[in-house]
Amino acid sequence: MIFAIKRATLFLSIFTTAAFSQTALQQQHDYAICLYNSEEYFDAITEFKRLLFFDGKNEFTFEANSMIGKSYKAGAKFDDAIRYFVLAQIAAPSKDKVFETQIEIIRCNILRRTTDRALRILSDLEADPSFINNKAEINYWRGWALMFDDRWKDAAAEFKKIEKAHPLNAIAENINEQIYSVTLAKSLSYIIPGAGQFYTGHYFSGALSLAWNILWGYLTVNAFIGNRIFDGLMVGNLLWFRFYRGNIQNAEKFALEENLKIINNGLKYLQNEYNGEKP
Amino acid sequence: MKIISILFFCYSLSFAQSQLFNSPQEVKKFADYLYCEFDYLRAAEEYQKFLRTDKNDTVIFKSVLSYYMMDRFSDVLNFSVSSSRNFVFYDDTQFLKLISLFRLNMFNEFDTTAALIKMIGSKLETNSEKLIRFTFLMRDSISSKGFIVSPFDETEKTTIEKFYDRKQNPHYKSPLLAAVFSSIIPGSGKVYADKLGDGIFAFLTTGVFTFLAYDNFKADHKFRGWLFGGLAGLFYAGNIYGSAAAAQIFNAGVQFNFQNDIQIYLTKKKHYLPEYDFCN
Repeated sequence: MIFAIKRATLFLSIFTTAAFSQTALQQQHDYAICLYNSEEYFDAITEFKRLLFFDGKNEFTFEANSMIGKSYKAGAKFDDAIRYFVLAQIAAPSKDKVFETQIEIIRCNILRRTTDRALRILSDLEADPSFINNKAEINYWRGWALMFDDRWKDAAAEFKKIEKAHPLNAIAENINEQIYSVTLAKSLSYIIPGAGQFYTGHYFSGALSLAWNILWGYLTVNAFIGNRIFDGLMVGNLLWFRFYRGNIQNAEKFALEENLKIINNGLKYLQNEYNGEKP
Repeated sequence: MKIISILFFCYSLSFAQSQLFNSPQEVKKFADYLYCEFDYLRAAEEYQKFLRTDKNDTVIFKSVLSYYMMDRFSDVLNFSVSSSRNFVFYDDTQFLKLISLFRLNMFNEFDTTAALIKMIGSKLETNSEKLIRFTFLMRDSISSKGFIVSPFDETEKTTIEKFYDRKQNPHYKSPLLAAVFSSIIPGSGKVYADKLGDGIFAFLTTGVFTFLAYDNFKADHKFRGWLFGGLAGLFYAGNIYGSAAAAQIFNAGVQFNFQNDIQIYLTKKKHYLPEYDFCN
């Protein structure tokens, strides 16, 4: 009888400890999730790390690492975020979770502008037969990676693969049409000084550039016609050539500046107006 | 509103959160884990949490060390620790405060603290003496070479002597002299200020424009003569000013490189902070 009571007590104590520990971990998990949902990312990371530390049976390894990664990402700490997403990926319980985590890593790479890395992971996912049904999602994130890499035409092509009328396809194509060709701006200025500036809408600068080149060109030619070879060489080299080169560099600078404005406006539009998933 | 209600819910959850993970011993264990994971910010927070209910010399020191590892020197200085010699890490903590003052370039406070804490006889006496010598090298006034190199052993002595010599003879260039040189021979001031390429370019440009002005005046092309003459004058005056500025930039560079080299050397030496292995 005493033996039976002892056994029952022992069983009860083991059971209670196990149940209590399970509840405690679950409570810890819920608390951390709650902090994450209330955008208290720093505290959320601390509590998820506490969960990981006390989770002896590794029941929450995947979720805790994944949530730490998400919290770091929300705080723009992309390197740390990737580190934890990789840990989550190692502990992922299913192929779906592996894919989900890989996408998170890709999104971090897009945001920290390591586009090559993002594209490489996307290619690896595409080559993996397990993810044959996730083609649309792969194309979607490839499109985003290309947009962040200023390859708007390629990005539009990726979105077109998902759906012809994909809203991002139209946006990417529109931005691609607005972008100035740097090569064209430079080439125009090679042929007619100031033309590159006119092409990018900088009319005053273009006119000024043209005027300087006409002045120094006239003096150079005039010196050669008047047989003042030394004068011609010096004015040509030190003034005309300098202004001619400056005009080409100027045209390139304006094209790049204008493109930056267009791209930033495009990204701002995507951030504020686009309702789909973003990196 | 949504976030506030979630937050309220979180706080109610935090009350329910198990005491299992928040007992002082568990908090300490978790803090140690964070410390060894190099997550010093959270480790410091957890150590603070532990110290609210418990006292432990190692925890106090690790807390200060965590702030130091994050380069949060003001927090190191503001950390109130026992001034009693019974505190196991008394010398180490005081030394950390000295390094923090040094790294914040607060040399006057460094002197006051160094005089107050008296590291003489402590295990870190030599280390603090070395740091004190570096404060002399970083400041305008300087003592004798013998005094500066005295705490360093043979392996370091040569480097410290070199630092001392650089401090004593900084090889500055005179901006006035650079301007005078350039007014006599255009570009020579720039060469003197260690800008050989700029000097040659200035000499050629000023020379060529002067010649062009002379040549055009000679040929009775007055407009071009004035144009090139004006350009030559502009280059000549600009070059004189540029030479003086180049000398000043050179001097700032000498000062910057000297301080930078000291910082690099001290970083390599970890500011003479002993190695603490709390993770193995």
